[in-house]
Amino acid sequence: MKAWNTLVTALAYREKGTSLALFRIFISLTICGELLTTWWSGAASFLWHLQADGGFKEVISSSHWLFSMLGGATTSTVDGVFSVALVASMMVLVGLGTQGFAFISLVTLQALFSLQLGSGGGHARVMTLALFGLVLAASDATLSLTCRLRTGQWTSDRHVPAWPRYVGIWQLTVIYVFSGSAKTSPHWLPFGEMDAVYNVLLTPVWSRGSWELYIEPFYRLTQLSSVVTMVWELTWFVVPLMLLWRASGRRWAFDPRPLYLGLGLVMHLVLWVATNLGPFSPITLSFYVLLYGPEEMREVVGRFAPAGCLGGRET
Amino acid sequence: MLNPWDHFRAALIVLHIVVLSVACLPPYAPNTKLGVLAPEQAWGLLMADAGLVQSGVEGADQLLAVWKGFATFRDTVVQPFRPYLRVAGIGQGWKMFGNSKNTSARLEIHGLDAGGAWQPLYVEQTTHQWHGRLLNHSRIRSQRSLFANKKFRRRYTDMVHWLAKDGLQDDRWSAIRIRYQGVRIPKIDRLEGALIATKIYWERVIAREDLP
Repeated sequence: MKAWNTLVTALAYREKGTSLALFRIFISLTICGELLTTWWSGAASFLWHLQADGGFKEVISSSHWLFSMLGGATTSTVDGVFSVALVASMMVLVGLGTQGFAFISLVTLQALFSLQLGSGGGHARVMTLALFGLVLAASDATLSLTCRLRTGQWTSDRHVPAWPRYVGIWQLTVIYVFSGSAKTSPHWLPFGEMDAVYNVLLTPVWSRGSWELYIEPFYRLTQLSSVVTMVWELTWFVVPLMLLWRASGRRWAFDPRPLYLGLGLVMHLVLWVATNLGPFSPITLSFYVLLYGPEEMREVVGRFAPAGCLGGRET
Repeated sequence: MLNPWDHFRAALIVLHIVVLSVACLPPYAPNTKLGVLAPEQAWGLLMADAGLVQSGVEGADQLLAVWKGFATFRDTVVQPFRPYLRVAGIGQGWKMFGNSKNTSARLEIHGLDAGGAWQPLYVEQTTHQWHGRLLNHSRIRSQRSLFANKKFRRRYTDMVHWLAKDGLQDDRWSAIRIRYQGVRIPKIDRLEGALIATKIYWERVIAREDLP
């Protein structure tokens, strides 16, 4: 019972909204960027329009309830849903009516992603689950238009429930640890060939360039990266474990976050530059801001940015 | 001071986390056509080397049986929560690059000129980038990678017709050829700056007269 009460107390904790606000901003920026590049490249029209309107398929179908309600997936209903998704995501970005618009963005994106199964990837799911978190979180208490209208300031120290941040941290942990646990092939393992990263970088469907021309001197590094990636993912649970341990008032020898975040940052940036995986890296990196509470974040940001840029007056 | 709402909310959050964690366990899809050892084969060989089983095949079979049992348990537990997982947009199994493979294919599109020669229009990862902005977009790339699966071959045909129709609007071409050039990633000691071309897949030639 004591453990349960400790957990309930932790989940009832309130904190300043800086971390959740930054999460909201990074997530919605990534979603807006993805929607705009999908439109700009012609992929939206190619994938989601009828053949008569420039699409590649004679019939587009979706089992999503939104399209059923709209009378089916046609070019005009798809364009309508796309526009609503973009506007809703922009509203989440500026932080006005955030929870409602996050819900609209969630539903419309799910409807769009249901049109052409397989046109996307894991990042589409990361987007929708992040939006689900934003539906539940009070992420516009600061760094938002809502805050500006309410207080006359862009920032505020208003306290909000912290549990959506904890759920986000757990979600990131699930993504990493389970991805690591799926890397059972000997191509990832120290006693195997350790050539998984080498293979990924040279696979044309993923690769951004002809890296086969340049990769030879870096082969050992790719082998090291294979093992480090697998170990780093598998052991990511250390981060929430440390946070839980410290939250219960106990001491933890060292803070693993700089190490895990640093490795993650390098891994995602290399993936972003070297491979064409869509917005997988930015959407996943958006979760990193949740790992630091608002006070810790202000301390970190304060080292590089003008004092008070993340903090406003008490409200 | 904790109130009943605090307890109720905590219970919901814990339930969410448990369902999320179980549902997201990565699915295992055995793939024996990757050109590399499937994980269960590799682990089966290790088990055989360690004397735990008679052969690598027996080890692989045992591992697969355990995993299938586990997957059945997971599906049973998660089943009542499927509608919630769908609405929340969570529940995907994560297995980023779990299966390392050393085979792939490059999309190639050529136009047949008046002299009867095929001219490159789009060749993946080269300077021939007709419709490159579209074809290189991650959503189209992921779509294209599905065509290896027979289930999606109809979509490939649709894409071929879309590209051919567009390409044949240019009078220089009397036909458009679309195909995949299979490639194999060699081991590092045999790389020599190039992937190894293997066979051609799903070649389609659409002439002007083939268009409706």
